[in-house]
Amino acid sequence: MRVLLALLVVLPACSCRKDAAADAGPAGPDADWLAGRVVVLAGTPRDGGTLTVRLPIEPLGLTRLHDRFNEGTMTRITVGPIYETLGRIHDGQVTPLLARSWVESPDHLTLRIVLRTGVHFHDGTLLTSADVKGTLDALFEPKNPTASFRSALETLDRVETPDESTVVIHWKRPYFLATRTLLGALPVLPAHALSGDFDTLALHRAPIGTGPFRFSRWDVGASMTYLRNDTYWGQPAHLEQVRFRFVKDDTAAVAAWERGEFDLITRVSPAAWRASESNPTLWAGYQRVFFPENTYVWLGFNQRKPPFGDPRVRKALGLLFPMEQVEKTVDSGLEPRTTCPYFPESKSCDQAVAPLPFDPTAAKALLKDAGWADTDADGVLDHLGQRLSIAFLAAAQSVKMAKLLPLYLDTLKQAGIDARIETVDVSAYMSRVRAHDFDAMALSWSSADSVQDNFQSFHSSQAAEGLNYVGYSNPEVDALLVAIRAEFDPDARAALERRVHRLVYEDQAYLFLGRRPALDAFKRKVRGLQPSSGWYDLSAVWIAD
Amino acid sequence: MRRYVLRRLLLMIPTFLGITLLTFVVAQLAPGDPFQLDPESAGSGQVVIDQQRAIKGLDAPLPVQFGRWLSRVVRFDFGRSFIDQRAVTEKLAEAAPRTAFISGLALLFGFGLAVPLGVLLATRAKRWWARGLSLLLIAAWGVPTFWLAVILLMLFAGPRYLDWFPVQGLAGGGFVLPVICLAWPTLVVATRQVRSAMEDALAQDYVKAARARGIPEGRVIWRHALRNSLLPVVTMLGLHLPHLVGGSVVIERIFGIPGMGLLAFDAIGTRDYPTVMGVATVVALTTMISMLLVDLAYGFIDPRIRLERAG
Repeated sequence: MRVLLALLVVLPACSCRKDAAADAGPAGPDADWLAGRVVVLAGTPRDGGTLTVRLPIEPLGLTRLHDRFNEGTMTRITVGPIYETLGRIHDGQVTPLLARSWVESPDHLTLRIVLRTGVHFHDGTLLTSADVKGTLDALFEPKNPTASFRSALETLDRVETPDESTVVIHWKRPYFLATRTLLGALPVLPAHALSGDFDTLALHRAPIGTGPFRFSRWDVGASMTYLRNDTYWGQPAHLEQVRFRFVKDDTAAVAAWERGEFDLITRVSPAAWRASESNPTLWAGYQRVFFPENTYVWLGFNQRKPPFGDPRVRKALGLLFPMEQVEKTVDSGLEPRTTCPYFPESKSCDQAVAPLPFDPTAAKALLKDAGWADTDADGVLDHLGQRLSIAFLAAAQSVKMAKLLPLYLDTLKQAGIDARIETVDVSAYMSRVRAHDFDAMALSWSSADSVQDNFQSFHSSQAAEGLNYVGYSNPEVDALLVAIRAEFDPDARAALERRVHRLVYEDQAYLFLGRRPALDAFKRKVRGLQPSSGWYDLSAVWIAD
Repeated sequence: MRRYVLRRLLLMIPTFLGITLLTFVVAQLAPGDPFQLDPESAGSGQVVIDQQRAIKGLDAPLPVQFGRWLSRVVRFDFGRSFIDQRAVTEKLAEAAPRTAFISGLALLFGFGLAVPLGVLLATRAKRWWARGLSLLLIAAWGVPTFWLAVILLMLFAGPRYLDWFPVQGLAGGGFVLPVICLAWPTLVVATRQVRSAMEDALAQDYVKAARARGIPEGRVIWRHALRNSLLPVVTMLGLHLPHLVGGSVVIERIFGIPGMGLLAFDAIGTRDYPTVMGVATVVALTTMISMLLVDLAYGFIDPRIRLERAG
C-alpha cells in the first residue's frame, strides 16, 4: 500500500550557536554519530520505565482502516504497539504473528490461515476468526470511508471462517502483493467493537488491540499514553509506559530535545540535524538515527499537455535540474538521490541506470531536436507559435519546494524556458493535482514495505482517476506492470521491476529527486531500538540505568 | 437603557446570520475539497469521493446546506469534524478555555501595565527616561510576535541560557512566555494610547481649574484626567476581547497550546467545514457581545454619551 505525502514540511528554524559548542565539549561526535548509525550498546535488559517519544503530528484516529486515519508513518508508529497483524514483515519476509501458520494454494487463489490460540484483546475477549472476518467486513462495507485500504485488497473475493481459529481467504485473481498486505498490514480489530456507525466508533479514539501495549489515555493536542500489556500472549515488553508527545513546532521540539525531554525524538528537521552536530549536550546524551526509508520525492510534468508529452522535452527538463546545488543547499546533504520507483536497496532497482547529469548544453540540443527554438528572439523558446512555459504548482506549506523551485527556475530561464511558481494551499493543491489541472507539481511516495507495486502510479489505465497523476503512458511499461502483478517468484519479479525502473527513468516519467530519510535521535540509555522501514519495535526497547 | 440593550441584542441576530452565511459561502467556495485530501482515495476514484460527500451532505445545494447547519446550530449542535469525526462542540470546549486562559491573562497583563505606564509617561513627559522609554516603545512596536516567541524560548526555556519555563504546554508555568508574547503588542499600543490621551486631558481647562481649586495632583491625574483618557483604551479593549476566543496561530503553535487559533488554522487548511463554522460562530458571538459591552461601558465612563442616547 502506498501513501502520498504532499510535502508538508514545516518551517525549520535554526538557532545554532557554533562558537559556544566549539570551545565546550571534548573531541566531538564520532563517525557513527555523524552518519546516524545506531551503535548497539551492551547491557542486560531490565523492565520498567517510561519512553517519551516526540511526534511531529497528532494522529487523527487510531485505526488504520479509516482513510483519514491512515496517514503514513505517524499512524503506523502510534498504532503499531497496540494492534497486531496476522504476520510480521521483517527483513522482507513475512513471519507468523497472530497467525500461527498459513498455507497458500498453488494457484494463489486460496489462503488458509490458522490463528494462534489463547490470544486476548486488551478488553479480555478472546481473538477468534470472527475478528479477522469482522475487520475485513468493516473494510469492505461500501458505506465506510475505508477506500484506500480496500483498494490494496481489491482482489479479495470472500472470507470463510470454518472454525474459531481458521480463516480461509478466496482471491478473485492471483496478485503477488495481496497475501502480503493481508498478513502484514491489516490490523486485526475486535469484531464486537466494530458495530455501529464506522465514522464515530469509540475504537478510533480508544483502541483495543492484542499488542504488547494497551491504550491508556489521550490528552488531545498534547500527548498520548500507552501502558504495558501485562497479559500479553508473547514476550512482554520491557517498558512500563510509552508516552507520545505531539510537538508540531520544530523550534520548540529542538528546545525540548536539548532539555532532554525526549527519550526518542522523531523527524528532526534537516536544519536541526545539522545544528545538533555542534551541540555537545546532544552528542553526549543521544544517538542519532539516519535511516533511508522507502520514500522518494519527485517532480511531475503533466504529460497530457503538449510540450510535456514529448519524452525529449522531459529529459531536457531533467538535464536542467541543478541537482548538486539542491542537494547541498536545500537538502543539507541529507537526501540521497534516486532514479528508481522501487526500494533502492532491493533487487528491484537496476543499478546500471545512471542519473542524468546537470547539462544545459545537452538539454538545449534535445529541445532543439524537439522543435523548440527562439525564433522571435524574445529570449523564450517557441514552437509553432507556442512559447515554452511551465507553471509549477506548489503547496504553500512545502518549505522544500519554496527553496528548490527558485533554483530550478533560474536554470530553466537561462535555457529559454518561461517558468513560474504558482503557490496554493495544500487542500487546493490536491484538488488541482487530482483534476490534472497543472503543468508541473511535486509529491512524494512512501511505502512501509520494501516490496511494493507501482501499477497505480505508472499504468496508463490509472491516468484517468488513479494515482498516475502525470498521465504517463508506455505500452511496454503497462505490460510489465501487469505481468509483475501475477508474478509470484521474487527473482523473476525483480527482473521485470528492473526493466520498469529503466524504462520509467529513460522516459523521465518523473523527475526523480531525493529520498527523504528518517532523522531521529534517542537517549544513550535507551536500548534495543532498531530502525526499520516499519518503524521501531517498542516491545524490544528497554531503558538502562 | 433596557430598551437599548434589547434592541442591540435583537440586532445581533441578522448580524450573526450575515457573518455565518458569509463564512459558510467563503469556506465552501475556496478551492479544495475535504475529501480530495484523502491521499490514497484517488486509487478508488471519484465514485468514493462523491459517496463520502453525499454521506456528509455536501452534495446538496449551498442554501440547503446552510439551512441544515443553521437548524442544527440553534440546537447547539455543530456537527462532527470531517477530519477526526469528533463532535465540534467537544473540540471547541477543549480549545476555548486554553485560549481564553492565556489571552485573558495577556489582556490583564497588557492593559494592567499599559494604564499606569501611560500615565507615568504623560505626567513625566519631560524626563530623560520617559523620552527614552517612549522611544523604546516605538522600537518595540516593530518586534514581530513570532520572533519574540522564538527569542523568549531560547532565553528562558531549555539549557542554553535560563531554564525557567517548560517549552511546551501550559503546565508548570508554561503559560508565562506565551502570555508575554500575546500581551506585548497590546502593552505597546495601549501604553502609547493612554499616554497621548492623558497628555490631551492634562492640557484641558478643567484640569487647570481642578489644580487651581487646590485639588491634590494625584487626584487630578487619577480621578479627573484619567477617566477622560480611558475612552480610546476601552475601545481598544473591546477590539481585543474577541482574541479571548480567537487565539493566535503562531503563539499556540510555537508553545504547543492546542487552542482556538490552531483549531481554526488546521480546520481551514483541511477544509473541515463543520469545525470552521463552529469556530466562526463562537468568535462572531464573542465579537458582537464585546462590542455591545464596549458601547455600554462608554456610557458608564462618559455621562455625555448616556445623555445623548436618552435624548
